[in-house]
Amino acid sequence: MRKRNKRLLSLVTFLLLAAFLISACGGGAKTPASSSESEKTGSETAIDKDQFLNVNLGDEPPSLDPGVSTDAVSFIILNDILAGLTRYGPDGKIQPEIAQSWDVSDDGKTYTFHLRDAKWSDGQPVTSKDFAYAWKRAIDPRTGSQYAYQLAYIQGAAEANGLTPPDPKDTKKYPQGDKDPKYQQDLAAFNQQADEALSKVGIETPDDKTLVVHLAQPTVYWLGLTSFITYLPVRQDIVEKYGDQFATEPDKMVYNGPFKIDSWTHQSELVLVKNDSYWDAANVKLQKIHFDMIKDITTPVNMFDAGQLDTIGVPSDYIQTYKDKGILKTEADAVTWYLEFNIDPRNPNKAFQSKKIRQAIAIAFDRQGFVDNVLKNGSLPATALTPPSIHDQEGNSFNEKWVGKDLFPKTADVEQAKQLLQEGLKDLGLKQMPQVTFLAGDSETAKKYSQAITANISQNLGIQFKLVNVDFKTRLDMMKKGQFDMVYAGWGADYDDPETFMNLFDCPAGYTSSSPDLYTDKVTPGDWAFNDPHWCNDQYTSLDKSTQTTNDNTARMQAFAQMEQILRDEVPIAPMYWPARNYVEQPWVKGIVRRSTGADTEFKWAYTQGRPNS
Amino acid sequence: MAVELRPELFEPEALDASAMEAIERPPVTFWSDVWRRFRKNRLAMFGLVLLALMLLMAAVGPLLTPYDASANNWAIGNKGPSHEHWFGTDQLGRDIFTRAWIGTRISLFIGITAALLDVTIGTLYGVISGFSGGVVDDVMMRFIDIMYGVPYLLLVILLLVVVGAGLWTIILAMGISGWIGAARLIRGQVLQLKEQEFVLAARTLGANSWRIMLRHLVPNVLGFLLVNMTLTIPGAIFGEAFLSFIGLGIQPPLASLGTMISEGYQVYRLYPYQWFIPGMILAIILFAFNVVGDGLRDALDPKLRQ
Amino acid sequence: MFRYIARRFMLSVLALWAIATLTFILMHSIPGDPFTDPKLPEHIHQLLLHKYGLDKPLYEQYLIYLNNLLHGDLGDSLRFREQSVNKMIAQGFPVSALLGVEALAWSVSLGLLLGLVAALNRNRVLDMVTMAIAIIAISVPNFVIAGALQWLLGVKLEVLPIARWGGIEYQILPAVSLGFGVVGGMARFMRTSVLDVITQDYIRTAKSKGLSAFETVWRHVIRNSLLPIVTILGPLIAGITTGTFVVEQIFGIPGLGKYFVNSIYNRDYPLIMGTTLFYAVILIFMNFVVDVLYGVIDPRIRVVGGKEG
Repeated sequence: MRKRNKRLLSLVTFLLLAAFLISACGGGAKTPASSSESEKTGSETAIDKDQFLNVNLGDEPPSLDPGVSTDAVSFIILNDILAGLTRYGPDGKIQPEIAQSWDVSDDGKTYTFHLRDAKWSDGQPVTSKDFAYAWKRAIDPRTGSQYAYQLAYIQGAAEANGLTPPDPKDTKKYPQGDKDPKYQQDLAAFNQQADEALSKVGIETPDDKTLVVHLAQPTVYWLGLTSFITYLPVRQDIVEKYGDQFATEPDKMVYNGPFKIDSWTHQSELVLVKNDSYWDAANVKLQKIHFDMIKDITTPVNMFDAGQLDTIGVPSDYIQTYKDKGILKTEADAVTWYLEFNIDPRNPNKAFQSKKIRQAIAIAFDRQGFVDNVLKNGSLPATALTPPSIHDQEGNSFNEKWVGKDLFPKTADVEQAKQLLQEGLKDLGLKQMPQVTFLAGDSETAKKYSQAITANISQNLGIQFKLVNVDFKTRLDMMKKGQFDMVYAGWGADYDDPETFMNLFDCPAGYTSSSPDLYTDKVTPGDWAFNDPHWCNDQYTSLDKSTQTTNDNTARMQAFAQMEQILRDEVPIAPMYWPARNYVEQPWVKGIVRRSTGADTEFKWAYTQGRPNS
Repeated sequence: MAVELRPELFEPEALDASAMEAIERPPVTFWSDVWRRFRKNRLAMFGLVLLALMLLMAAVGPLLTPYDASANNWAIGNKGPSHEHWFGTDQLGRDIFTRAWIGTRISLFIGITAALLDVTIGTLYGVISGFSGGVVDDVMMRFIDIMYGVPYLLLVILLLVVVGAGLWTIILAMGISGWIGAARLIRGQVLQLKEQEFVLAARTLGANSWRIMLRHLVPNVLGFLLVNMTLTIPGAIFGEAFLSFIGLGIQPPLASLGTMISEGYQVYRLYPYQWFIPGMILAIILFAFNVVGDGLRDALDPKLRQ
Repeated sequence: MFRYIARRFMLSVLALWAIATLTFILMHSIPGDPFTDPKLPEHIHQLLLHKYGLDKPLYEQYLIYLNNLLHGDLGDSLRFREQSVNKMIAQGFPVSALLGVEALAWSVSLGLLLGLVAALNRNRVLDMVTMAIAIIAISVPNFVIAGALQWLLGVKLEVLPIARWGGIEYQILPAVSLGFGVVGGMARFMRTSVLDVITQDYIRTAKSKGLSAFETVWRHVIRNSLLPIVTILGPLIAGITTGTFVVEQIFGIPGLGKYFVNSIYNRDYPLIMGTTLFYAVILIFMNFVVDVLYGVIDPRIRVVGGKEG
């Protein structure tokens, strides 16, 4: 009897274990709550009485001060609570916002904005001085604005922002550190210099309703930038009143956008309500947006399926589920993921000094197979650096109209790749390809994709990779220090013009490929900026410069297309794919606008129609 | 008829001193006694069999399939268990059966090595501290008191971000956080043992401290250590699984059970087998170590003899 | 007693200093800094480092930090602009602590009960079943439990909220997930402890005096078995009430736990230091409470200034 019991027990143990684990996983997801009900009410054309949305923000907004804010989370909120000169409309075209109209001078360098009557939430009028103050504040190097470079197109802005304060650590110059009289003197001089430089910045406010801006170059895409976060207005009196505490709590800021912050429980939730003093409040239907700050990937999916969130971005693994249900929405993103080769001659691995070896790797990857079988989310194989969602000045896709062909192949050309690899190795006098250190991020998806990419290239070319998956900041640091052979990286557009991608790989300012100092410590990581491969091509750089001094569409686009061709020939980078943005909305959600640059989700025109029980 | 007892009648038996000492039945040594008791514990025996099975599969499992653990075959990704892929394939079309047993190998290696490291440091520390006594013991114990206030998990995460997560760094990280418990326990045992007669005997015979420690004390706490180890191993294996969840698991394309579970967790609603299978193996291993450890403890403690 | 407390206090301060130093060195060894960002121009990067004093020599930053620490100032978060670490801890800790206490309340009592039942039925079916349950509870990773519960009770059956923080209904799933592993550990520990006690002579004495089985267990076994449990409760309480990353992340709980991991990824130096030191203080305090309590409960152990007693 006892024996049997014990045997039974071991069985029971495992059944229990199995039952528990199985109960945790069976079955598929449930369709969004009661779609029939929503159809019923949806047939009536009236919108819901109770207008609200539940959205997951994903994290606490790190900073709601438009001058210093840099992250996507803060951007979404800032775009809702503040109104700039312009705003992108639902059709993707720039629309007047606080600026009612504007004139552009014939040389394309002077913009005159005429402001409408608009009010802040405390009743004060929105004036041109709020813009001038905000912009100069961001340009001022003492503010330490990370995105000040977005304002660098304005005359004198780059000069003012580039001023560097004296360094009290420089003991040769200042033996007594920050108490050194010489330092105090230099600091005062710096402050004066900065004030002077700021006063020379090309922003004028002839009256409260007029803002005149002088650009350094006729920058064609600049008007679009006036909707960007760093260009939002800021009230001087509020900033001065709250100092460092500005914009840290709902009552320590003022609002002129479609919404204002009702409550903000840090690290937990943020509630926006409609701002009745917004100039276009008549067109804002939504009364309330409730934002959660849940970081987990799966939890929001569960909440969406239970009807507790109205829209979510779909994690790559769940794309198929929603595709099957027919509610997945996919939008092209203005992002490119690519591989960068470390071609700095100081890198101990010399293999990538050979252009042929770089070309071999670039064509040995099955982009189409990767996109179809691994990503499965509507991403496209990247056949050039600039994604098709970037337009020329006339609104055509730059890639489709001006590049017009697959510079990098969609499917792997294994035979040619093998031959190129052999030739390259021979040129370098190498017997075999040294192991390649492949740097990538440490998220589950980055790990998965980097394994897929290296496995594919390795299977096609027989190259051995050493994967190094590290966290975001470590990766950036290692890229800066050149501690990689290849790195898997991405870049997202700042504005809708090929320049936002093309200028990444310019030579360091003031250097050419023949500069003897190019690969010495004289050229700092700051000089190389985003050029992680440390690739310097004079023709490429001068073509890029030529696009900055003209506003002729054909000339500029042809130059960019030629630069794409140089990238293909020289292969400092190998484009991999153009990702898509995947999201789902409950059937009653209408009018949320998604964009590929800046604040990526726009709620101004959103409303609900047919929400159950509302 | 009376028989006269004369010496000639007696044949002297050859006296063999060693034979006199001979023990007819095999001696019941400490360890065979433990084994006898352990064998009676069916749950523990079951655990031992499971453990042997898992070790065997870790050794030969990957050889049973024609697949390479890290070779991708995207076209057959996310396919459930079939006769070609017994445990199915993962998102990159890799064979989960092959990967799971390689993962088992790595998880076991991490667990056992980390536990060994733990126990070795802990034992040395505990024995030295307990045996030395006096100021040395006092200082060493104060140091332990300080170490008790250290939030290890945070330091382990920090350390792994600094040096990069890899097989050996994870083992090291697991090892440094676990030795304190072992050191305290061992010291307690040593304090008890050193008052016993055999240590006094050894000392009178002129053995020096090191010899006493190594030859007499360590063997006496060995059983105790074994128990400690069987219970530390699951902890280390489990710890690695947690680190995997926060992105500090073993460096791909290597996989441990922990990294496989946390990869599978991403798709737990869609392809449950992807975390269920490595999760099940992990649970079986932890279960086996735990019951074996419990059984061993019961078997070692004569007080609990039935 | 006073001498003992004074001595413990000195040691604790020493421990905190050691932890602060170690954490400081480790966190500054991580590549990158709070402002590392792919789109940040290098000269602005330098200006930002300068603005927050991160370009000073490390020893100087260290001394400044220690000085602020002595004044109870943990500094401002570098990731979440102008939010003080003191305030972040003050807001996060009550949430984590509430959840932790709830989790411990159910899991410790259930664990103790299971352990007692197992020990009293040693080697019988009940023993094996309870121990099997206990070991299973230990063997399933936290995130699997949390994910499974969330899906089953939140999505499938819709009886409890999936995530967010609010009234008691929001606390059930996280508290259950959090306590799961504790039940197993407690049960096993209690079983061993009870087994130790029931073989003691005084239990035999009690039995031979004619005390009923129930009375024996109630008056002698349980009380004495709980003694060693107290020692593991200290670190356990400290660990759970300061928040756990996994459960807080999955259920979107605004506690302390998520800072432990995220602050490191953000290189948010003041927050890394603040949360680590706060956890250490709670841990040290709980260990101290346990030691004092132990002395109170068990007269054999005296808490005096002498040697290890």
